[in-house]
Amino acid sequence: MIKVLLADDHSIVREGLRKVLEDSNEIEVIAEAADGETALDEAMKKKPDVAIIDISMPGMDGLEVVTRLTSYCSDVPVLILTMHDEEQYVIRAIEAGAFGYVTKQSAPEQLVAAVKKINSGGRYLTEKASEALALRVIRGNKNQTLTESLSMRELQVLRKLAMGSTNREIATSYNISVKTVDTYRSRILKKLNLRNNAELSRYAIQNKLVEL
Amino acid sequence: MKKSGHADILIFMRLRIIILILALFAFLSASVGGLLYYHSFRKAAFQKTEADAYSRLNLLTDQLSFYLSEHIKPVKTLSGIKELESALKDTNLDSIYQANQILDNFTKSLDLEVSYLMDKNGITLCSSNRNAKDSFVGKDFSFRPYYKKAIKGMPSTYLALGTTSKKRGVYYSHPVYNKNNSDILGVAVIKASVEFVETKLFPKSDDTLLFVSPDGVIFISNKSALRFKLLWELSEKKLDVLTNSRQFGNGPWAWSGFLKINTRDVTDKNNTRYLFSILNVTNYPGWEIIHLRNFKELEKQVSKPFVRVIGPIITSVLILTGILVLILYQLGIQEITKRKKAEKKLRISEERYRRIYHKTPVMLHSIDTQGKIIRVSDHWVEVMGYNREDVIGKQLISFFTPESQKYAVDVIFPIFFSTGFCKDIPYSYVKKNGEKMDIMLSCYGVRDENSDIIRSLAVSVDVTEKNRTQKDLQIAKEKLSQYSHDLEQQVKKRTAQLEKAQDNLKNLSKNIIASQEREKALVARELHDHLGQVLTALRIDAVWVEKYLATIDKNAESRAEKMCSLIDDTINDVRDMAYRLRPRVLDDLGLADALESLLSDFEKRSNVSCVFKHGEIPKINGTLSTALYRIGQEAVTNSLKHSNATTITVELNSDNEGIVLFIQDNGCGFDTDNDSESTGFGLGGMRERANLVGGKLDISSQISQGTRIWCKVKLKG
Repeated sequence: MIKVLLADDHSIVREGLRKVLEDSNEIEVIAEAADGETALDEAMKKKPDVAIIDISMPGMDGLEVVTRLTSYCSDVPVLILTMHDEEQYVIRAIEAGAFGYVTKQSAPEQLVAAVKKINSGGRYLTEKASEALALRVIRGNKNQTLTESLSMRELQVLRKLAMGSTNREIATSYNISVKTVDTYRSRILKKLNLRNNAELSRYAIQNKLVEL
Repeated sequence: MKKSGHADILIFMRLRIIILILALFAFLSASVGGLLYYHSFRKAAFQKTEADAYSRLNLLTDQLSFYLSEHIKPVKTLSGIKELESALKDTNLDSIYQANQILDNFTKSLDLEVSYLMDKNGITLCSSNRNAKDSFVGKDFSFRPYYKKAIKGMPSTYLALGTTSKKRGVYYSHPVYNKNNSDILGVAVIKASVEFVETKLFPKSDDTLLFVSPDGVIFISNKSALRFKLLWELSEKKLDVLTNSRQFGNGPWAWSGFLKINTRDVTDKNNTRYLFSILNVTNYPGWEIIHLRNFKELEKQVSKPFVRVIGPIITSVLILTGILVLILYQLGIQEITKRKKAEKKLRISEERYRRIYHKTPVMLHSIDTQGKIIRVSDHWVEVMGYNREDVIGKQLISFFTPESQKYAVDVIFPIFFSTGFCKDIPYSYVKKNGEKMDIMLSCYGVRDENSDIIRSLAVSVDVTEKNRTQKDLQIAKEKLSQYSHDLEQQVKKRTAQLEKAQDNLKNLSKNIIASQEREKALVARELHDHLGQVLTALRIDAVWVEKYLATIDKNAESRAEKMCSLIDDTINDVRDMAYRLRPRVLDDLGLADALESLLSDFEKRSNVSCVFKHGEIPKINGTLSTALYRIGQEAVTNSLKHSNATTITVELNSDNEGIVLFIQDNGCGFDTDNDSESTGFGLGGMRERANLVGGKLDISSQISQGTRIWCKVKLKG
């Protein structure tokens, strides 16, 4: 049984989540908390295998809890649970030391898998979250001046193209029109001073935008 | 001017006279020189003439002596002949005959007038003229001195007029001795005529030559009229003696008329002047040779060569002098004319200067070193109301007010007399009517050749009116300044009021915005936290239900799935609503993350490339981050709506001064001068938000050049 700490200020949500976790028969909620301080205390006290913590709570917020927990007792990995799906939160959480990130909306489908993965020593990130992280890393590299001039969406399109996705596939995955994808592609080529998809792929590999 | 002209003429006349006098003087000098020369020349000539005459006279004397002593020896010889002794010792016809023969012989051979022999008693015994009418034979000449001397043994010569022959002659006598020379028997006499001597030694000439006896009877002369005249007047007694001597006949002897003036000069009865020389004749004591020369003739004689030689020289010298004087006179006249012209010019310029000095309508005056007024312009006296006579010679400071007097004496005069210049000295004059007059005085010192100041030339400018105007102006200025001060105060007051009102308004605006934001945040939180959580919980249950029903009832499962999908949509809607109202990321993660999230959201919903860059941002308060977020949101929204831009860049940076939010697009831009466009697009709202947080918004845009917006906010501390 995987012992978890569940911290959420909304009791209804907490109750629902507990149900989701316990339904798996592999996870046991050994502690619950409605605010950051309690969560930190419980985590220190009970040493759960995984701490599931809502990012926005009254008092000490989730991110602060993650920061403290990773410094005080690094053997408790934290899974961030949130209502927000903005990438900024994901990045902050991972930066703070969280091992995973799940939105409450997708919790019924993903939470158990996430807990299991973290418990087994891995990290759990949705595709969207990992993409955001990758972009942040790239952007954080000051030497990549050309890449820097690309917008977030352009970077996404660039990666997809480099990995061999077709325009149609990209349009479907981002829920945009094929024509728009084409517009992005020509804009990327112009900005990076490239001629075709082959050069584009080489550029992405050289600049470590994609991994082989 | 007339006076001076008159003076000029006088000077000119005087100069003319001087020149004339000089000319005369020169002429006179030449003349006197000539005269003196003439005189000295004449004197020399006279002296020479005199010397000549003297030597001639000497020669004449010698010659005369010689002639007169010519027969002394023959008479001696005659007296020694024995026939004469015989005739005297033994008087008979034969011896007389013999003696007469001898006498004839002598007379003939010696060319004598007569020669004769007298006996002891002075009776003529023998004579060479015994046959002539006036024969001396038997005549008694014992009264004659030559007999008297000879009979006593002394041979003698005697000059006399013959009593018988009435002819002048020289008588030579010698005693005739007997054989033993012991007794004088008689006297032998030779009489020689003086006619020959007269013609030979006394030639006719202009000069008068006289041979005069000791009594002054002219015996021989080259002027026959003067013979036997008395040279000088004789007394009766002397005349008697002369008559008794019967030497020159019986007389009477008229006076020649000569009168001795001095040793050298003699006049005749016609008052003709003669030069007089006299010389004694040897062997004839008392006899004198006298030479008289007509003074005039002599002068003529002397002057003639002088006039002939010197005359032309003197004349030419005089003419030259005359010409020279004439030239000098002309030159003088020319010089005078020139000078007169120059003087006239000078006078005209002086006159002009004087006229300018007097007629120029400014107050001019000059003072001497004692501070006395020596000249003033007409305008000066006119303005001051004095007569010129009242002013000239007075102390300048006596026309000053007491303060000006003190100022002048203590300060200005010492400065002026050392520097020779002063400018814009404020004095006050007192006019004759007692009125005070403010002036500005400027003057400079006129210097003499030693650079000493001899007088001043000063200009006084009446500044009374100016001073008054200035005073009025000052008062007006002060008044104005007071007004302006009051006005300023009022404006300040009003401004303060206005500022207060504005502050109130600003605060109100701030409050409105703040409460708006608060409301929004509240609603967003409510939506997000409450509704969102409920929906989330609902979804969890719905999913659970869906899963549960999957094995039991496929129909129910599909219904549950639909429910889930509906709940998802609702959650998304709620999340969007909340995000639009106020993004939680702004409160949770800060401005940079919020802006990044905003741009990525915009990018997702449009085809525009949105780039966000940011640097290190200090911690800022919610109000400021909200304001900047809203400004950025507004700017990007505007850009998306209106600009047709393909790229929008947002930069957030901070420096020492504060935070700068920069939004740039490459769209169509707009005209910032166009008010409706500038205030539209929510720009007014952006500005207001910036102002409320103490920031400043700058917009730069041009048609088809894109738009750039800066929002700068200073951070306190």
